Amino acid sequence: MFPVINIGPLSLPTPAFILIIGYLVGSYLLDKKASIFSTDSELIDRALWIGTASALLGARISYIAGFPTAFKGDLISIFSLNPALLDPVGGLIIGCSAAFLVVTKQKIDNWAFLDSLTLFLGALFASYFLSRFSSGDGYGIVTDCPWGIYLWGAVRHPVQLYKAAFALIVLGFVLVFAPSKTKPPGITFLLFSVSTLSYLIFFTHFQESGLPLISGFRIEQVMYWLLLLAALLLLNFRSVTPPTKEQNETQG
Amino acid sequence: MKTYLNNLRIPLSAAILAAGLFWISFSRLPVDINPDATVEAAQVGFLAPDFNLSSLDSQEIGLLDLKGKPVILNFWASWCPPCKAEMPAFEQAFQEYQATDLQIIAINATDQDSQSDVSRFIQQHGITFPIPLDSTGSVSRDYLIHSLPTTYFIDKNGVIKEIIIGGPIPISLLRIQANQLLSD
Repeated sequence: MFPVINIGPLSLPTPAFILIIGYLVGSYLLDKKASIFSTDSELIDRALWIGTASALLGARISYIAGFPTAFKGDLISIFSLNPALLDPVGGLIIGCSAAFLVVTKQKIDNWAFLDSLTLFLGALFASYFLSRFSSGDGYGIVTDCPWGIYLWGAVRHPVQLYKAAFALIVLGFVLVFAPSKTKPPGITFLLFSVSTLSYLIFFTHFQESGLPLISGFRIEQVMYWLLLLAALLLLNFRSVTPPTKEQNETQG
Repeated sequence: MKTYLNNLRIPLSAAILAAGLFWISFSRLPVDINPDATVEAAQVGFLAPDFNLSSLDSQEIGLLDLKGKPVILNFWASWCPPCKAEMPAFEQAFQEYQATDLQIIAINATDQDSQSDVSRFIQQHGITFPIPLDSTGSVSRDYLIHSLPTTYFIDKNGVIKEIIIGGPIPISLLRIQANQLLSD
């Protein structure tokens, strides 16, 4: 666990640092490989930046909206750089909505956009799990496995590393197998979703902390399973849908 | 080959979903059991490590003595600019929540500070909440303090609910966290 990197008088929060690196690597991959998915890298980049900026702004607005009375007489803290004043769920919803609006306005095919986003998401997920490892959050259950790590008073499964490793494997698969223009748009994204959700369901078993339980069931696993169901249904549907004339033309 | 794979698509999807359901039920946990809440560690969900320290006026302050009351525990030093910047917010919160059970304590990392600087800072800024002195750095080590300021939000059962590394923390955030601790 290494939550802070101290460089002289400067203290860098390691989790945020790793996340930023993941974001930059993801953006780079997205830029370089956008042509594989028959999308314009500039437009995708724009959608991503607008989505990110809206997510940050939305996360702050959503947080303030949740606790308006706390900000009375302290309006300046609305502009605080403290990341604890962000609502991640609200930010995610607003960011995704903004990116979706840009994509729709630019008349980019939604499925092709999601396909090109897989590389970005793969890098971001890997960095997210590594950032959790650095902060010590999302730690594993107690184990006597030889590869267990000593954390929070016990030897535990390094579950964040399992997830990060699988995120990188899935990213590698997308990089190697995605360059095929014969697949209908959306298949790469849906295959990415199915594999990501599958390893998340599997590895959440080894996680100690997390969302509350419903009758002993882990909410996270149930949510992942429902998303997996949706992804598989869409995958089966997309696989039998013949490509439109426009898609045929863009795929050359 | 492609037709063969296409024929397998639906059974394969069903198998993945069934395996997922099996694994979810296999991962089921006993309800209302949080084993971490009995172990001391400087992490959310665990018991906050206990300490006993003296303040500048030789008053003994221990975490166990505050059991039953929510605690905001800040680590700071007088040479640290964000620590100094957030102290007025902590003082304001201390005044606002004085009538409640909420306790605000700011442990000074005295092993990397000087008592005279601490004393001068407290007087200059009119700090009235308890400032215990961690002269040996043992409490900072127990709380894995890598960077100053760091603030722990501890519920009335002594369980850490939130950790904020860095600052300055605005008064609005202190109010939100304080209200959540008091409503738990």
